[in-house]
Amino acid sequence: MDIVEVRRFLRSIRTLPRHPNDREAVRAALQEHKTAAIQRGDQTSAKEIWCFEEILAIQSYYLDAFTKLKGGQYYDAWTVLEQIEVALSSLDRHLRDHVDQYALEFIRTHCEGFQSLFPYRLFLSTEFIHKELKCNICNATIAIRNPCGHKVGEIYNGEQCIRIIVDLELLGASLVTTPRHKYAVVSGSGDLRVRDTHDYSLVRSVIAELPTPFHAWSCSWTTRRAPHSAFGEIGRNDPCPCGSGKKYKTCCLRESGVLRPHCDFWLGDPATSDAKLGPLG
Amino acid sequence: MTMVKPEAQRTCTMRPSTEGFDYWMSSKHVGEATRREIADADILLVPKESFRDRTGTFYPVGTEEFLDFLRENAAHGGVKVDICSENAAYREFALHSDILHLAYLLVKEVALPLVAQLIVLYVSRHPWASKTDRAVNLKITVQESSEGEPSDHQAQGRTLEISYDGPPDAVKDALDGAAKNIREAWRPSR
Repeated sequence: MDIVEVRRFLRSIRTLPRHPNDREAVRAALQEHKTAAIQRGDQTSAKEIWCFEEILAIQSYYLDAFTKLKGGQYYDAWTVLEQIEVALSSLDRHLRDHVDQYALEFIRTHCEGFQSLFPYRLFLSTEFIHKELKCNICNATIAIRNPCGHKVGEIYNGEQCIRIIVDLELLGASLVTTPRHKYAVVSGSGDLRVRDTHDYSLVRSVIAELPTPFHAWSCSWTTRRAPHSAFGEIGRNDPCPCGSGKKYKTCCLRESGVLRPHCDFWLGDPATSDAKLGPLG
Repeated sequence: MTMVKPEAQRTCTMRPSTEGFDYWMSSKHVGEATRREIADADILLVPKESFRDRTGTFYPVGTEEFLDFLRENAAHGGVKVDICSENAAYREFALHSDILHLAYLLVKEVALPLVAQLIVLYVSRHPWASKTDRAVNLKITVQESSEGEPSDHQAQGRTLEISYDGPPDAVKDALDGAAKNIREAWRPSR
């Protein structure tokens, strides 16, 4: 498989069904081309091939996430969506102008959309001191005053330059709402793969309406006031169910209803589609 | 997709500081050779000297990229960027939240407009620059340039510290406002 065929394969993501064997064949072809490019000292081609490898990975992650969502494996799908976010941010600086032809913008938007429907709000996040770092390209220990010359995020010999943490001190872990990475979801029920008590009704409602991974949809998050009758068990002196931290009586009880997040969901382009399914929030 | 999320709180403060170039040139954290290297820096990345009950030279994760970026982009104007740390003592801290912590900067007054521009550019290139619920944390100490010798920090002038915590899209306004305030405070007749 030559590079032209690889490019055609990657561009066909929306239209042609993917078989795992196809992906493996493309991956193997890219590895072969990259080895040859490095041997002839062609850094430009090696970098282009790295980009293709990343595109292939992102497309595969997206298909995988969609399958997992369809199958009700919500936490597993969540971790794959996080992988997509990380991979896209690595690729962005190298491929900013060509994302549409590989459906990457669609994947980015819909990945964010799916993430917004998940009920996860709290995450466990760690704090470290990095004592020793190495460059993955030349294996040199990082000396801040005398850098090795390889820049983090750049591509050398078809690999992205990163820093490997060789020695670190763990300072602690905190519960946060905006973690650096979103893998460690805080759950009152232990391992989410074993017992999961989260309310996935939003994700479930949306995924049920999508016949294929590239069926466009969008959602819009706003706030609306829900009737007080829905919060009958909340006392006047209890915390307000809107989450403001104030007492109910000094917050939403003075208003026409309780301020709650509200989600509208459209199949297709929201500007043209009338296939609105919301409200779901 | 449109999502409504609370914006990160914005705080921008200015206060007098005693941690100018003299302070860092006599720092116990750098040896004589490094002291000579950083002596003519216009922009100096300076550490937190204590972190979670530990003392040393601590910089936020990503400082290597930030230093590279400043050096590459300031070099055209003949502005020298350096870091106040020995190789062996350099430590990076990685905090839990998705806040972009930039290394603290000490800059000569003449370099402040350039630093402000570069910070805005650096922040705008960050992967989550468009997300208003994320935050940037930065601190710049500005040292007054002497009349007639704008680049001579041996002649110590006044120093002011600008601290900013807030959303990425408000960094520019905050730094522009701070630079204007400093200019008016130090050069009222211009």
